[in-house]
Amino acid sequence: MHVPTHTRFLLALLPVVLLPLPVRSDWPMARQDGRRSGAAQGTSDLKSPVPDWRTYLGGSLQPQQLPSISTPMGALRSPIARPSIPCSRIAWLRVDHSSTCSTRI
Amino acid sequence: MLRADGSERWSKPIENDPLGDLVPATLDADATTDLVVQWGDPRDVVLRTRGLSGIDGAKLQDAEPMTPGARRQPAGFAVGPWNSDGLDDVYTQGPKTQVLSGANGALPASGGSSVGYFMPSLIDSNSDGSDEVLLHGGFTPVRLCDHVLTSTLWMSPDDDRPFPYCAVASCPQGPIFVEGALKYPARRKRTPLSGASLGRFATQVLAAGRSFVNEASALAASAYLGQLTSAAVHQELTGTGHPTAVLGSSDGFL
Repeated sequence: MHVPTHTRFLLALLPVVLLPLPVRSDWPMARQDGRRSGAAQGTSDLKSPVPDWRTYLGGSLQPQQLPSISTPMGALRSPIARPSIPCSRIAWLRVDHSSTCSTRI
Repeated sequence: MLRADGSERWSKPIENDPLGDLVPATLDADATTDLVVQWGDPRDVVLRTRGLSGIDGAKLQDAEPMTPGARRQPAGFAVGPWNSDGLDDVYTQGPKTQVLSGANGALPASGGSSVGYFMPSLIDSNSDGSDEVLLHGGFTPVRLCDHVLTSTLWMSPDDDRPFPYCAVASCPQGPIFVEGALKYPARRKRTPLSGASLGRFATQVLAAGRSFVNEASALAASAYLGQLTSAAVHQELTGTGHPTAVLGSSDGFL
């Protein structure tokens, strides 16, 4: 049976077209979706992730970054250092969030 | 609104800087996704919510302005269908947990929590086809409200300052939410949201790239207790057939 060339070409492409498309794990907005699920539906088989690249962005410490460190301060129990608002100041807070002292940065 | 190539499709001024995130929603019968935006007045004490047409940015509706409480800027809002009119509605936390109609900005439901700062997430925790509202990302404990906002189905007994946003994993036994906290910076908590296990949370401490049963164990191993970030869940990240939660830490580990 004669099969036209263009038909053979299309038939050759068919398995490619029918292959399942890779599912991407898009993260299009904050908290992923309008329901704010924080959950992406894509698939992967990630086992041992390593940084692809890194760069220093500069800038200043922002309140949202909320770095916390435990520091022994005399009799105080596990104070937490955290930038307060405005973010030109770091405050040392107890675990119950009462302030012990602060300093400008 | 930008096209995929970065060129502008339309722009529309609003009265002040937007607060938080612009959230896509279905607010009318056309096939183009619309948008919801919130902003405050110049003194930032009144919260305004507006629906914009995705086609040209035209105003579809304004909700009644509200005072969002002492925190003033909400943690964010959610969008989903509250009733059966075929449109999305807006769930937001103000003086109470409120549902704003996506059709006209009216207030069809109000209740839930009177604490002024939470991110609402929508979860059908009992598989009845309508969403319950999980309030998280605030100063006070996480809680789960029923669909009509008349009762609190569960409130965490753990007053741990759960400011980092949680993420919800769909698991065979039901939804489980994963979160960090400011009071216990390195502690990761997972809490079932359905069935007999509702609210029975389990914790572990993530520090120095390792997992510990508690902070004392981590400190005994000289592990630095960093602050965990908001959580993100991937339904299948590791090829193991179950969801994975990803959290960063200020100790430098993911």
